[in-house]
Amino acid sequence: MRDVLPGLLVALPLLGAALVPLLAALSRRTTRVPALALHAAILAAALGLFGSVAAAGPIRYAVGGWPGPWGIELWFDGLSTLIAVLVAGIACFAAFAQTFGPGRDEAAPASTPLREGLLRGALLLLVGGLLGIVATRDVFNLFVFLEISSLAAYTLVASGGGRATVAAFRYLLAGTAAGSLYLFGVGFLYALTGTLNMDDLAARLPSVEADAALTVAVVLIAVGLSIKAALFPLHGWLPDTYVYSPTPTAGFIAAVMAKVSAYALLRLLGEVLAGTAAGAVVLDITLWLGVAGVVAGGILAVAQRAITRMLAWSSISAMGMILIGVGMGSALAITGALFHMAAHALAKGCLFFGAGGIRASRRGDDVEGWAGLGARAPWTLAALTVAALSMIGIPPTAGFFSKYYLLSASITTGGPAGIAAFAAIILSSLLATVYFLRVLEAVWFRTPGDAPDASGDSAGRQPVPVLPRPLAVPVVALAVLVLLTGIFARPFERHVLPDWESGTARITAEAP
Amino acid sequence: MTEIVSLRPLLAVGAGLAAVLPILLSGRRPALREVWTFAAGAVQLGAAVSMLPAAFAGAAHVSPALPLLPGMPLQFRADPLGLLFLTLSSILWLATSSYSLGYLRSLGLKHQTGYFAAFAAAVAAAAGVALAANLLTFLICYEVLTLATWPLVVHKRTAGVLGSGRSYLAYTMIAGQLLLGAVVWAGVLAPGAPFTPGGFLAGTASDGALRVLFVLLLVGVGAKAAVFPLHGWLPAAMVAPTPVSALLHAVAVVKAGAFGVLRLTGWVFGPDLMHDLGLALPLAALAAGTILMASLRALGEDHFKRRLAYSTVSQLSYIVLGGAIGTPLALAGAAFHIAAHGFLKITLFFCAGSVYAATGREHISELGGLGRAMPFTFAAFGVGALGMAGVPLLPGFISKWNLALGALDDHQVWVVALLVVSGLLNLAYFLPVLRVAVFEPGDGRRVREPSAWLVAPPVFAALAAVVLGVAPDAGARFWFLAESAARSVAAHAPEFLTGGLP
Repeated sequence: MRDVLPGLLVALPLLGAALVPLLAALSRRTTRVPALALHAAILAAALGLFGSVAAAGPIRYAVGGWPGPWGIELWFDGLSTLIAVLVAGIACFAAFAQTFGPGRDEAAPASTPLREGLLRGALLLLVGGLLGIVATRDVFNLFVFLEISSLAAYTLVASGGGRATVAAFRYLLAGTAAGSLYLFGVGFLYALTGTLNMDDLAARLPSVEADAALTVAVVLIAVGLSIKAALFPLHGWLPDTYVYSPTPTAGFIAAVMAKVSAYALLRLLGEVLAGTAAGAVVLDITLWLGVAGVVAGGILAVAQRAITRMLAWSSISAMGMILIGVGMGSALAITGALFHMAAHALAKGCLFFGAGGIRASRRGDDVEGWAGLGARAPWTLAALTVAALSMIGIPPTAGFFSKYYLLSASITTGGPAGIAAFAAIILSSLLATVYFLRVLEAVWFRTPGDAPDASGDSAGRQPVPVLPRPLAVPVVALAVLVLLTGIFARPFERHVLPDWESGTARITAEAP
Repeated sequence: MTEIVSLRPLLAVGAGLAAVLPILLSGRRPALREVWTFAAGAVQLGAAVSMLPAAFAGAAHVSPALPLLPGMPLQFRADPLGLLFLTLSSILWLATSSYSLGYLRSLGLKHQTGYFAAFAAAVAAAAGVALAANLLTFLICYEVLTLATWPLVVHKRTAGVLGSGRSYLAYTMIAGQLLLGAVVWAGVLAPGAPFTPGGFLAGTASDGALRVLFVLLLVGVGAKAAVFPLHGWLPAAMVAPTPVSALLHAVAVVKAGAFGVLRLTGWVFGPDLMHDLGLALPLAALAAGTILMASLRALGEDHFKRRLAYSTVSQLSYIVLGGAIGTPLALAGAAFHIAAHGFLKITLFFCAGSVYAATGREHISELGGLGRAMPFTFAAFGVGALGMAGVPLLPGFISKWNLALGALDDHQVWVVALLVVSGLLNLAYFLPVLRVAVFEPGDGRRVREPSAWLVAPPVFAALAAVVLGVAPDAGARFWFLAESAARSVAAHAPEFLTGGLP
């Protein structure tokens, strides 16, 4: 198992991305079964790796049998398998929504089996790219996977048509700039050390510590990945992308896309480049920008009237929170950051599937349009409520525990940075209280009569369900996961998350 | 203290929680729905009573620890103070449930399913607050309590009521976040942050840092306790249906806040540390100011329920005052006041609700003639009013007497004067209610006592108050529980006065 799964995890989605469109083009029939089966297989592989790593320790896999530092290596520890499970799991929900999902938006072109096949292929490609980023131990290979995932994401976003096309183009500009900066940084590193393997890099960096080019390399890599991770003030691409994407895409991208880049940032800055002086400075700056992002994202989320846009700004706030954890860098902080990645991915995926679906059923995207929905669809709205409470950080949802870890870490960090992080996290919870409870109040305690009737255009037709069932399933399932992750936070953390400090020690010890 | 690991604390907390879903699902069958409520209430009361003998013998039931965070489990412990609060809330929950039935039916209120479900959740959360064994568990239950009571406060769903609900949330959620920050901090200073008689924070950080932490914790729990200047939400929350106000004041929210202040002073900081840091006197002064300010506001308030609300603000600061003084007798008086105020205040609110249900009147000046038309209700009201003022043979007297003695142990003579003045103010704002009701003529419309569902609970609560006042150590032995809670704190505060208790 341990010999096969690492390769499968990356190869399956990439192969599937080629096969599914091909199948669609040849057979001219629907490709829903093979696509869903592939996603299930990918999730199974990720879970298998997760269990194997938890039971028997990290796995190093040499692609094609070429060992590092010459060949490309894949590396699976508690950290990467956790993110891999998250990506593969939410991809299953996204594929489910994509397959059975609500009718296309009006702006999107007509659907054909071939087009469907291509979009399914794009989703598989996106998953493959993200899993590649998570798994790879090679900094150039990471760039390749970054580009693969980005290209697939542009396609999926643009498939919404209309304004989504513009959003996708903007995303493309930002993403290309980010990728190029990262590549330059990698180029500098290669010129300095002659290696691309992360472990090898970490071992060789001390000898080139004095070189100014190292600083340039670290900054370029950090800026490039920060754009992809939507670190404030490099978040410009995010709101429109999340708001205008088709719902299945929005749910997936909002849940995991930026987080995988934050993961890459954590790997490189927190592990590989951690020993360098420039890396330490960049981490400090990351922390402060995270603080700024947490506050700015929260304030702008309060200012939004459209629910999806509010959720997008809340994501910027959450990414700030994750990067605060990355910036602080202690074991406690990394645990908090990882936990927040998981908690936020589950909750935000749930909210975007729900909000997108409710918007698509022509109920509008503003708070008034949601008035009284609780009475009409109690289960779905209860699920969305759980996700919203997790975003605020109400116990016993997952969001509470990630905030708890991050707050603890900021106290143990101390100093101005620790105090700022502490205050920012508390403030962001309060802002989240404002913008989420406003929605919950409308959902549960107001009647549609209070507001202009959002469903006025559908008068006389059959009542539209609040949320189509294909979206309600992921929404409810994700909310249950939010609760379970919260209640079983401690066992989960103890068995799964790596001990970051010993993890870094291991790298130093293993390096040749 | 001997600890018995058992599931009973979990049962006490879980009973209400487990009832929420069945209640929501049986919305179409009201009779079945109410069965769930009463069943859960009976289970909770049974669990509480079953843990009493151990407490009388000096032991405590402790639930198995569910690990949540490093060193911070979710755990419940039935120590004397927690058991006192739990037993009180179980008894009053049953009383309030039967009262709610009569109230909602006679006024034909909507959303009854959501009402009973939120009610069960709120009581479960209050039980969790009572039995929480560490700060994390306390925080979790506290936050759940905030959210569970929100639907109850905004029950009428009009724009104005929703506004009051926002005000309620603004106070409690901000306080909740500060509490979260403070709990995290305390958890870093003292791993696990378990409630320990006499406190666990001494020597863990600099004096300045501990003072800041104290203020954070005090604001965190004090907003629910409606300590001045954090009381603004409480009169606004009077828009809730009367049984909800009764629950909020006697058991759940405000009382949980006052209970939290006691835990904070006796079990987190401890009297020794409070005095060393110079925190005891400012807190006592704050409580004294709240007592006087709220009593004066109550004098000028014509709205029946809002006058009761200000009375609560004032009365709960007795508990804060006792916690601040920290001598064994003062702590015992404060802990006993949790029960005393619970029975008395719920009586008063039931009476106000019965008047509203029978006549639709909400202002004290409109009560003329009702004393004769509704004799049982106003007799119960009289007991509640006199008990609040501290008349002997009623429970309020016992708490105030011990508070005064405890203050004298610490040479705080001014507290005695304060208690006397406050007792007089109590009479000054409660007796006019009776005067108007009994001696002023009515408007000629015929009024009768409402249904038995609405008469029996206040009469029961008033009788219970009389029993508690005459024999404070009978039955559930509230006085014994209060005294042993105070004794446990005193035993761990050797530097501070331990005189007073025999």
